[in-house]
Amino acid sequence: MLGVLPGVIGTLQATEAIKILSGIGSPLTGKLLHYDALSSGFRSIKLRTDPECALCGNNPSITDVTEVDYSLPVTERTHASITVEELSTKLKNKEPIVLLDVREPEEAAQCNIEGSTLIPLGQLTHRLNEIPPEAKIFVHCKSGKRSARAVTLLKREGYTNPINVEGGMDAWLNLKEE
Amino acid sequence: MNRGTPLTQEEEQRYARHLALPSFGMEAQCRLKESSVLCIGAGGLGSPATMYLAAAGVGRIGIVDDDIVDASNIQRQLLHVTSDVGRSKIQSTKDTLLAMNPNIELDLHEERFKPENAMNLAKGYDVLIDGSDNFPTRYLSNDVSVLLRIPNIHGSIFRFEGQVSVFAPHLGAPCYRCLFPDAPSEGAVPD
Repeated sequence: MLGVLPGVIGTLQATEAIKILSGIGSPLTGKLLHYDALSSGFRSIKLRTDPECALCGNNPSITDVTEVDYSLPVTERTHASITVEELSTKLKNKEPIVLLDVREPEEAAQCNIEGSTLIPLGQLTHRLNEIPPEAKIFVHCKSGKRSARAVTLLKREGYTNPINVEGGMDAWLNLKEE
Repeated sequence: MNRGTPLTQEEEQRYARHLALPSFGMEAQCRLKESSVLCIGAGGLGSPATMYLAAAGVGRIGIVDDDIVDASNIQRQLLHVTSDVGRSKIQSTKDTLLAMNPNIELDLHEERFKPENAMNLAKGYDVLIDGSDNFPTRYLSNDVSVLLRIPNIHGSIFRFEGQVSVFAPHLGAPCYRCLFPDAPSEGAVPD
């Protein structure tokens, strides 16, 4: 990440705080201000409240944060998944699995899990011929989000029970550091 | 909006440029002195956010972070300097902010912002700044600020792009969940 970028965004956050606290100007509510450093552009996107919002909608279901599972987004939880510890054991035991890495090549170049097959998420639909249909497939990315989408895609394409690696490379690196 | 706390002579000198600013002036400066902000995270976003708020004279600033300064942080997390590597971020945050402005009150929370402590940590602040770098904390700070009816100043960054918004359903504005009810697609809301 470009180091100066959080400087721009964090400074905008401070600006909004100062405006709200001192009572000057109008706050950046109902709008999302997007900044692109490469094209030097600011864009303001209008936002709408969602009457169905689980938190601030008409019938909120979230009323106590201690009752919310913040560990993973919902779509990830709905897939079959394994932890990096379980994956590590499978690899150690040399189980016949296909470990699919759906990150981008530059991410894989920095660190990868030995024996994994790299097919970036965006190319997956065109490269399914590289994945044997009968294989036991485990999918990982950096954090578990892209791999969850890959699992959805694989299921749609008829693969039986592709499995998401929870927490992805981030969790894997944490495990290896311990 | 409160009427604010009077300034000392030293503060009048320090904030002279604010005081001379039309439509800011003494009244707005006193309100800043009376107000409080909780910043989640003392990293890339939390650094400029808390440093400018401290310099501007916000009376009470809370910071939540349980991390240790890593050599790779220094490139963007200006609260921490080279000699801070290995120290707790909360300690270097304290040093930096008090060196900038000894008049302000700091609430230093050396812990993670978790569902178990979040409501208690955020209670009593006027504004919350989300300087987190992960989705669970982002959703949590959103939820806490909505439940406590305090504005949540959201910021997020990815590679060369960033975004800012003030989420505040109590002011008629949407919250983060209105935009992304649960699982945002990769890249749509970069962390």
